[in-house]
Amino acid sequence: MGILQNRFDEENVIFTNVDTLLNLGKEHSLWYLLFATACCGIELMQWGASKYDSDRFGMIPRSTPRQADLMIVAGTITLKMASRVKRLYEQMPEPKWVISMGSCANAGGPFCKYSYSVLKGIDKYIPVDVYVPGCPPRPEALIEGVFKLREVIHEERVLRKQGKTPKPRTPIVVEDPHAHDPFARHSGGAKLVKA
Amino acid sequence: MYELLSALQGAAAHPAWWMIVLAAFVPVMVIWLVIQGVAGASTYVERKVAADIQRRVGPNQCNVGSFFGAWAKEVIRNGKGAMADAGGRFMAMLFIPLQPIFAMVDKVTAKFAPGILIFLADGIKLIMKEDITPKAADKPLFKVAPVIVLASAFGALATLPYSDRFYIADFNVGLLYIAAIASLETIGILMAGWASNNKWALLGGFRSAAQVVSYELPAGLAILTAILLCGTMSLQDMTVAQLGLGAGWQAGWIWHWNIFSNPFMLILAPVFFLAALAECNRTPFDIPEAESELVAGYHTEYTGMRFAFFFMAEYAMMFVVSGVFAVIFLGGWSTGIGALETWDKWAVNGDPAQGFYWYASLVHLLVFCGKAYLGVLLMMWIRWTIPRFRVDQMMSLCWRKLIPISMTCFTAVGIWVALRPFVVRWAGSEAQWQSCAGYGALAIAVAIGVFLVWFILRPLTPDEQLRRKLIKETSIKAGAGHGFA
Amino acid sequence: MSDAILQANERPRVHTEEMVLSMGPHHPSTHGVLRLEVVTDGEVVVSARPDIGYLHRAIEKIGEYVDYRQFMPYTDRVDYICSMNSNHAYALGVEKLAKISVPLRAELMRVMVAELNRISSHMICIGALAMDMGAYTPFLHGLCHRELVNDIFEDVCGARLTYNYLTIGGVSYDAPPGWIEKCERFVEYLWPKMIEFNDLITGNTIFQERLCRVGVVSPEHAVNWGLVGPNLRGSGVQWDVRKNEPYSIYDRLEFDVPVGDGGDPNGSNPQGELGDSYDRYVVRVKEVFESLKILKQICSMLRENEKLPADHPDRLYQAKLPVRLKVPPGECYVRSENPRGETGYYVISDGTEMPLRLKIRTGSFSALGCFEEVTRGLLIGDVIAVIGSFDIVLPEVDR
Ligand code: SF4
Repeated sequence: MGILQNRFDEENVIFTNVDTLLNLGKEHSLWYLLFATACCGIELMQWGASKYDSDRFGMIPRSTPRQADLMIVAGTITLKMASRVKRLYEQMPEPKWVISMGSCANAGGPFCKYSYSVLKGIDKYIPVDVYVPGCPPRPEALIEGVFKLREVIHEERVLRKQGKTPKPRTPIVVEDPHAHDPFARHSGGAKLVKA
Repeated sequence: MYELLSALQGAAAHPAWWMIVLAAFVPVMVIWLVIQGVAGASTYVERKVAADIQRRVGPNQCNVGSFFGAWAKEVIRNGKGAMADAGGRFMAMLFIPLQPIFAMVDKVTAKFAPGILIFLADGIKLIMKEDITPKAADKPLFKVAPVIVLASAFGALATLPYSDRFYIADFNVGLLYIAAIASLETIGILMAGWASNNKWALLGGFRSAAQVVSYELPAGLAILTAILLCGTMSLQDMTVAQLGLGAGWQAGWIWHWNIFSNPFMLILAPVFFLAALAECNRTPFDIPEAESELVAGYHTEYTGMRFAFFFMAEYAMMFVVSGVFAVIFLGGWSTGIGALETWDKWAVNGDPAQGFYWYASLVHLLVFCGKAYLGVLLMMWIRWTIPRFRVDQMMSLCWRKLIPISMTCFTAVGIWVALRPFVVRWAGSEAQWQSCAGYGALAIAVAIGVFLVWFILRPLTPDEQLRRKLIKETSIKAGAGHGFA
Repeated sequence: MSDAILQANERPRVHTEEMVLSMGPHHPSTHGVLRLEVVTDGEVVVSARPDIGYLHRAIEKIGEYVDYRQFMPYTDRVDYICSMNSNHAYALGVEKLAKISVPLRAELMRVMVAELNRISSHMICIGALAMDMGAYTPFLHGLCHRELVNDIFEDVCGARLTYNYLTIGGVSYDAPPGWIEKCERFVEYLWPKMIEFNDLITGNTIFQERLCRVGVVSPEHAVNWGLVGPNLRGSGVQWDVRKNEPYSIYDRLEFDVPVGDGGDPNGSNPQGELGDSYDRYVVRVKEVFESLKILKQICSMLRENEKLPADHPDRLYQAKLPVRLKVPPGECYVRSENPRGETGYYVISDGTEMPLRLKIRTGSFSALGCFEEVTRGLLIGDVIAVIGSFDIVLPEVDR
């Protein structure tokens, strides 16, 4: 956003409203980086494919980090891979977000205890906004994670200055993925199945 | 444009200064709007087309209600809040009457075009993205490349004959100009590929240059053939020529369109369409940006708005080449209904003295945009159905197949045009020849119709029957990716 | 005249430099985190050397720390696209070592889920190959069909990807009511859908042109390089563990082993060459049909089995085993036919609850071995085609 970013220090209602509009744009157009390392990547694929259809939320995959807004770290990150992930993250333009998908990216998953080569949580390398647990998380859980991320984006300050004490990025954990009915909220009156 | 303005102002001997300014300024804004409209609508349409082909739903979250409606709600809430100042209250007041309008629009659009505002969201987001220029990039070139690409699409859009009266510029060398300025895009792409200092981008740029230089030839030959047939290079005149005026009741009918005027043009049309696909880097010729090979091709390193420029240019270019296709093969803005076109309350001759019929211009505008957009839709359909060529296959298709075919057609049409006076003399008069040709075209159309009817009603082989039955019984409607039970 | 041409040809070529492309570990079509060091001369590949290890998760080592049953979830993750088959191979190994006999119903269920998983794995492979060739739609159609298999698996074990369904001595749960009908309906559904899929992409001229005569592995080479599974059969070698060394109940089932027939004017790949990428692709498509045939037979066998009295030994879905499973000392190697070819489990036991050493032999690893040889002199687009047609899954390579 360049020169206008975080310039206006008064809590002006006009800036608040403009920020809201900009945030609405951002949250409805989260292009994600096509980045999958392991098993969770298959569920990421299914999430983007016909049944779960991430395109409903305006999310399309981009294969170059330069055009992505959201990095979904799907799968095990090994020590050899970790620096690459960091590099990919650095190549993404601001504003950018990270969803850590699956136990492996969250904390090392089933390889946490005995494996000598697995990174125990990607948050050691890059900041994570939303954690989605599961091994692998169901696509519904990932959808819930995306909606949680939208809530984060909705509160962001674009034109206004960050508050005196900027709110720390509190990690958000999607709870109980199975309890969530993906079509109950945010469905905007549209239906999943076309007649 | 200037003509349109003078028609609006009435017959003025000397143009007023404001008209000159307006005539310079308005077209720029109009083209800009066309680009925005075409690119915005096309991204949405493309995603919906893709979704339909892939049994998905496509974007459906970003409706008017969930976008502007949600915004209005927040604005009003903020305006009523404890922290609200005068500005905020004013804004809220503005939004209160807007709320029911948003709700109403939402009701309609959510039904017929769910997710219609997705391009707005994409646009807002892309504007706000950080603008990264890689450290090792060639900075001036890197920055100017997307502008050049967009400028070429911009320039090409200016000469399209949108309607009989509404057009922005009409050169006597319009087609030459379009061919020239459309290939400017390649320079921009090559620049982008080179300046990014990225190997994938470099490969993409090289591929694009090789591709466009090759496919310019069949496209150019097809355009040349049309010029030969119509005897003009101006897009507007070419459209008028395809009305076949002066042929009595025959004038203005669909068989005067170049594509039906002789068999060689019918062969040439798909050749030109393929070459056009290649020129705007669409599947199966999306080799320069081949997503699965070159990550994102020449725009690998571009972020935010600079990427959006490439994006917009691509869709605008699709519209341009489809528009050119419509002009040189499908009669431009002509409706193809002779009775309408020869009606004397319908300005057809391009003669300003005849007066200005706004409804005719409007219909022509819609017809032209419809024809051009049909081409765009066809490109989308192709994109989501078939795989892409390899580099060498792309080259051999061009040099071994398309160029010989278009060369042959060019020669044949030349002979056709040369022989025409003799045929006309044999037929008696131009009008008689025209009506002969018209009856011939009718006969061919009837024959094709009979064949189609037979094809649809023909008895199926047992194999085909089985396959059809199986597919019919088990086919799933779009969007229902799950549940076969 | 001809002298002039000769001279022109003998003129020193323009000096060109080779370019090293680092393809991956993040690249849309390296199927995970494979990194290829591609040396190119323009578009032509001089050499493409795979660099692996980005997904080394030390699964074999973990096998030495956990007991026999606990290792089962890790076999899911060795090859996550066909977890059931991996489970099966491992279970076979331990059962052979511990001399456990598995009840008939368990065997039936095992083969059932294994074949279903073979279908869903091939769906990803053929779809992803089409996507690498630039056609996105067949990929999504493949995933669409795969969703149905996931539904079936979810009914039987509750998971969508990492099932952990097979246990040592049988399967974890019996088939829920209505499950067999669901499978039958799936078979009925998929058969015409596969025909539709073939119409969509297999018969596409561009697709064939891109794959024919690309990445040719001759039969001798295939054997020498140790290729397995569809990659080996694509080269025309008739070798299928299910047929040649039948395990489980495969000897009671009727099915064919499709092999590549490139270059055969009456075959499915007349313009190709034996062992090219298209052959490997077609073998997978045909295997889906074979699996469907097997599924049909298993469904009727399961129905037969259902008629037995409830306490009949053949109706059990699990052998009764002690909670703490101790395996007598010894070693054994078993192999089974996975979608990605032969998977071997080599288990050494010292009589305790944990294996002393566990070694996994996988198909993708050997496919990567001959990669450099096969891709020499191809174009960059072809490298993608070869990766796709070998159907490489990275955790299987790195483990
Ligand atoms: S969390 Fe589980 S499913 Fe996901 S990558 Fe790790 S092991 Fe695989």
